[in-house]
Amino acid sequence: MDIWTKETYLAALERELRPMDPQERLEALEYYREYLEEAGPERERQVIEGLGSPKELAAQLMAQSPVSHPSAGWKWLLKIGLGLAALIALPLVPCLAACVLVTALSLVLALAGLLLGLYATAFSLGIAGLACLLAGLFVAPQTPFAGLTLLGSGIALGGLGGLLFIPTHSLTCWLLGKWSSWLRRIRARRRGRQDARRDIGQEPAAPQEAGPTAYEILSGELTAEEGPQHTETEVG
Amino acid sequence: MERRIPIGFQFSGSILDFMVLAILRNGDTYGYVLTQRAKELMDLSDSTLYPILRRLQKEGALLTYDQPFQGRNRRYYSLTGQGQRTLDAYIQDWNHYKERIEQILAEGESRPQEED
Repeated sequence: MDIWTKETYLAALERELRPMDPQERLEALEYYREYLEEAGPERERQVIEGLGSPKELAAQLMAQSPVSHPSAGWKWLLKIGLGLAALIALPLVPCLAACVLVTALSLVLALAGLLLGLYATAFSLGIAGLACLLAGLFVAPQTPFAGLTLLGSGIALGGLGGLLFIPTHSLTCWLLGKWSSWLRRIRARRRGRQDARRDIGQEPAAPQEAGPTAYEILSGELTAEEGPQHTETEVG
Repeated sequence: MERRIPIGFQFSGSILDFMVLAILRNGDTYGYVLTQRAKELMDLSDSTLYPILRRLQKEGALLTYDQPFQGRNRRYYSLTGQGQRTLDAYIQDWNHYKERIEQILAEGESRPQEED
């Protein structure tokens, strides 16, 4: 639009400022409405020309002012919510941790118990087999058939024991292997994290400033007492 | 005495903050008059001052109050205590800067020109 009036200009400016934070947008529009009204009808066109197109003015204003991030509000709310939830859950944490620990421990114990039982069975079968074998050898010269039966039973029992022992033992070894490699990985990761934390901790010191400058006062870092006693500004 | 500042030296950034605070030291005023006064002293567009005023206000150097006038509203800007202290700091910075420059210029005049 080539010829703006005060109202059309301000309406266009409002449209262009839509991405801006609503409070900021309101303030800006109020300012420029007041400005154009002060200029009065005689100087209105001159001022509008001086301001540039609504698009240009809006771009200028948004470059210097925070643009509203609707997501930022969400994130903030989420953080507050999580914080509260964590606070409420805090007394439960040791209880839950204990439960998890106990469950894990009991599972491990159950597994260990199972394996031990299998080992025990295997061994007892082996011993029983050996006993039968010996008994058979002892009895054989007098009662050969009884002796043979005992021998046979002994071998069979020993065989069963062996059959049970072999898979049980390989399973145990495999489990122990997995466990030690897991432990190793945990230890390595913990060491890695400690190293990373040490590196991050070493941050370069802030550059030394010779004295308070106007900028520091404006940013609220100094009070009047500390104020401009010694100002050293760099030339160039 | 008002004179045009040569374009080589720019009124931008912190110098504009300085100028705005200095103008307001002489009295509270509203956006339009403030801009017109500033335009007498330096090359400014009508849009330049608003972001500066807004920022100074948010930083606590200025406060605003409204005064109705002929059915419309005028928003007056006023220096706060912090704004006053900031202005004092600027003035000190400026005097120091000015001294340095004048010192260099004075040396240049007193010392004879060296042949290449």
